[in-house]
Amino acid sequence: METLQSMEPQAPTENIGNVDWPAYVDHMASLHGLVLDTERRAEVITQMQRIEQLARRFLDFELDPHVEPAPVFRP
Amino acid sequence: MLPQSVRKCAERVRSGGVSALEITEAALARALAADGKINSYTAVTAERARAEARAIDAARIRGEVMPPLAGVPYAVKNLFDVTGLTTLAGAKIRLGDVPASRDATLVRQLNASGAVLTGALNMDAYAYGFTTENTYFGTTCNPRDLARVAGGSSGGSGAAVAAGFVPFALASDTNGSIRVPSSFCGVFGLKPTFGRLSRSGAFPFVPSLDHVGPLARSAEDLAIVYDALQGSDATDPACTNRTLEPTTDVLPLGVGDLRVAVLGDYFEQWADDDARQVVAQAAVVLGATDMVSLPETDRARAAAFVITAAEAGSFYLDDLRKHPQDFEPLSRERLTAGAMVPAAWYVKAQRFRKWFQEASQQLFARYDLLIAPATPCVATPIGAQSMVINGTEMPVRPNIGMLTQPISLIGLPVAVAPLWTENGLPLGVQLIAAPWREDICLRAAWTLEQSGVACAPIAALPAA
Repeated sequence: METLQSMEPQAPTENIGNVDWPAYVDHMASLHGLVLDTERRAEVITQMQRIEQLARRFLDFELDPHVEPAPVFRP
Repeated sequence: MLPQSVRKCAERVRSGGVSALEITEAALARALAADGKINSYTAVTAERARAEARAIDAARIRGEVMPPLAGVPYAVKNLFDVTGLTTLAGAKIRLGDVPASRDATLVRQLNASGAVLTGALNMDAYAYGFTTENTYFGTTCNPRDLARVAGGSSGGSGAAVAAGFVPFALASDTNGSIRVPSSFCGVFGLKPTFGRLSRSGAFPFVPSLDHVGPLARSAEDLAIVYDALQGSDATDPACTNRTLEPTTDVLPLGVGDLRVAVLGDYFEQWADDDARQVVAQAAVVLGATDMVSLPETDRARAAAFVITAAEAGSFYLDDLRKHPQDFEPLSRERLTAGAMVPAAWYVKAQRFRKWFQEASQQLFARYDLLIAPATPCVATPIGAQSMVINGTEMPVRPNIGMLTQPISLIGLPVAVAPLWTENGLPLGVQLIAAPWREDICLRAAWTLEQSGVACAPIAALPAA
């Protein structure tokens, strides 16, 4: 049986891998004024890794400079 | 006396065959008798319902023209403002909030259409979940199998409609929260085009992606309610100024000469045998000729995930700082991480959304209707942490919506019609059309219902 990690796409072109997520989470928690106990900190790190895993799927996707986010999205 | 359908209920009240108050009492009595097993309501507005029903009955006796939803009971996901109730959005942290001083726009519209509000319904905390396993307000059980989840985040809406407490309910859908409970509970649901219906007075979750819409037990009922909900609203900046585009009368057009295709690739890959089977059934009835690919769907799902995390995390940051102990443990750390998403990732996700929207438009130049499963599988057991789809094990909560997320990312209108698997459980198909073509979605749902493959009977509940 495969695991979800098998959905990982090819290596991204942007250098966002090998992130020190514990350090990032500690820094952002300090910036936001959040106090995280050991258990919560560990889970936030896990969640950041999951978000990174998903973000990698579109971060390397090249977009024309004129593709802009819509101020109010109109389908 | 139970309100079997929106149409029949309104017709009987209009003709004087039954009073709105009698229907309301029957609906309240059924919920009172059976909701202990399901936990769909978080508040029952019995006195308000009786007052609204009496007002309808009095108007009929005075000879006034009866509105389209005269005497039809309904309930709303507890993120809609209801005068006098605290708007919970499924969250313990909202319990101390001041009660709403006025109804949400859609509740006011339903009121003006003669509908009778019976209460507020359970949901995943903050609308951040697909199972309605709410640690504080309890799990909503699936009326089709009480050991399974109702889906979420509008699980109370799906369950209350499936259980026959009300013929329709209001809900919201950011990443699949109307479509997932419709699929799991075996009812019809409509997530309209982004911006079609007013969200004013509905508690926000992810403003870029939040939609609102109805669930019901037939395509016709869904259309009748949806038609009553349409209208512009300057207090919701996303709400369209388009003129009303009624759908009920066009249902009998069916799929006619519509060009219909099945979405393959991603939507086939992340569906189990049951999900593929119901799509195949729907494809035959709707005359789907091709299987097509919506390009980069996997990236679209990821973009929806990151936009959701970032906007929801940002929204709840102050509360996370002030009273983290009162947060839903199933989503607190997801929200916390969301508040830490790099802005560059969020903006890239929004830009990708625009690209994906344009890619989808090319598909709608060739097809009018696209079919996909609403969920990867049937309702999962309560408490399940993981599920296996096509040999891949994955966590349940973040992934039940993986087939709905890419579609709502670009705001396409979707109706869900419930089909039935060999094991007797429902599983919905998404009927997806180009923006503003809810009529096509509903015509397709109506066609499936007429053929007999889709139906949403009231669930038989075990005796007390």
